[in-house]
Amino acid sequence: MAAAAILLVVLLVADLATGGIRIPLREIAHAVCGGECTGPMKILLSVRLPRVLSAFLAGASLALSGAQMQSIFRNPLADPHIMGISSGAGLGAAIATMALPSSIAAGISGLTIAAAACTGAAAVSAAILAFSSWIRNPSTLLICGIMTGFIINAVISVIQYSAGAESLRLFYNWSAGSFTGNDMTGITIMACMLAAGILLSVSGHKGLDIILFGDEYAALSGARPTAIRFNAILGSALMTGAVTAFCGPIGFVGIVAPHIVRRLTGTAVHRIVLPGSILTGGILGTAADMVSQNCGLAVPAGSMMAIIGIPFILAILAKGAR
Amino acid sequence: MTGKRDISDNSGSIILEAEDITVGYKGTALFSPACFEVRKGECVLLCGANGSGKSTLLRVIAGISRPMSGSIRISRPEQTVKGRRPQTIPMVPSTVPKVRGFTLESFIRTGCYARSDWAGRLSPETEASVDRAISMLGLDSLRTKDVTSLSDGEFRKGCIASALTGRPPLVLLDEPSAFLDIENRLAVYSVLKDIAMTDGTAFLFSSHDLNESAAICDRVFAIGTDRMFRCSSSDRKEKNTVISSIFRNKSITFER
Repeated sequence: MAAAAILLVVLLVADLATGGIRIPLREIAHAVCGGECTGPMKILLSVRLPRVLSAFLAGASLALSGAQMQSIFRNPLADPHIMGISSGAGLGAAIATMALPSSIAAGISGLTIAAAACTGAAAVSAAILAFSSWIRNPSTLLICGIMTGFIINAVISVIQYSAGAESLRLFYNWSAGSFTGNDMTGITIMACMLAAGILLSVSGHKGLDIILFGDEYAALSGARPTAIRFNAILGSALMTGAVTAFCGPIGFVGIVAPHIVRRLTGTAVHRIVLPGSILTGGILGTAADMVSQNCGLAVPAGSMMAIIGIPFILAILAKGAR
Repeated sequence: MTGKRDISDNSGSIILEAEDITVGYKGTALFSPACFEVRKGECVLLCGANGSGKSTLLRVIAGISRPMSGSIRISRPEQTVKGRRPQTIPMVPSTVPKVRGFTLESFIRTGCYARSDWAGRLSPETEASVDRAISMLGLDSLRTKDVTSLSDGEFRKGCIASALTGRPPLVLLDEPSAFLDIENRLAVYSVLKDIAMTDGTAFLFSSHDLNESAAICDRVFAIGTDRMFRCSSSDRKEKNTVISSIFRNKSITFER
């Protein structure tokens, strides 16, 4: 755990120090120590710092959500997007970029898209939360979430079909997933949601342990399975909603990070897996950002995550099939 | 003996008393109102055909389902620790999935959900009761093993240990021998009998393995095909007659 924390700090600093323009470490140290703001420092503060923070927060939030989703559904392939939350965010973004009359759409900024995506994510989350306290069977709940996602994606396709080229480009930019272009407002919101998610998971980790052994065993031990699921879905909805709104739908880190933690620590006890997932998710997010910034091509970080993540998923599947 | 309380033998103190209990779904009772009691140190077999209401009755006693009618009285143990929620009767479900990444000990500690603090820590006395339960089941050498590496029989014993951590006067078991081979079945039953004799814990368990379970049980509760709830005394013949009431084919009788 300590090694992972050190690795994370090293990666965060390395990610800050690298990018399209070289900024010597000496200059960073100089500025941090209270020197005057030079040109490169402005790049550092207004471009790189938000990007690195976004990458870290997104990775950490999605990994923490993923760990909780995998436990409450007892499904190793569950992830934060499985309940259709990111589709909801997508619908919000789609309406903001494509379905509004062009006079309003002309004034659209990143923040407007984020606000619309946030609303969409919140609406779907509310529906899923309502489902979760009503449906007792986890498989049925999972199917409801996935079906909700399909319906919303279909609606998005309909909107895309009739949209113009410029609004399609705006929407595509959002949906490719990227850590760049966030200001401090977005970062503060993501950080607050991560903090809320951490608080909820601190209160819920015992329940996540026991629900792995079945709803009946949990109920017989004095736990309330529906309340445990509600708690986990609420936390995940807040974190995933915020991340998806500001960074777009970012896949895979939510599935992969918890598996890495379980594999490395050899335990599935949530007291270890949840903090481990936050660290690992942060590391993966920062690493993906660094690779996508330095590989020479302008690869969106969301795609980079997928390229890093898919081999892991295949390995998990192959291991399960054997 | 039908539906009537049997007070002829077994002078142990009464732990559980059920008065005109019926269970069922959508307003239909699965069996006639049942009156029975369970005493300290008893092993009681609950038998009946599939769907006769055995598991539902156990869930009602465990407090996670509601009875359709009737009441259940659980006599509290003499010493009541202050600040505890009222003790409920623990139940071992027929299937508990094994989860990779939990040692036998961490699985049993997880089962102490209602008694651990927010961080999952246990009080020293709960800690001691976990150790005690593990050694009662003879699982000391397996406590740091991952539960997925245990045999089904060993894990079933682990589930029983988990139910024993609260030092309950009575433990309910839903088909403790389901899916076990004959050797493991016998091992589970003999460990139940041992604990009942040495520790005074009572066990009420459902089972379809009539041969093995009738051999260790002190009494039999049976839900017959006529939907009558019958209780036997510890008399062997009476046990046989009560068990035979669960067969639809009346030419089958149980002899042991």
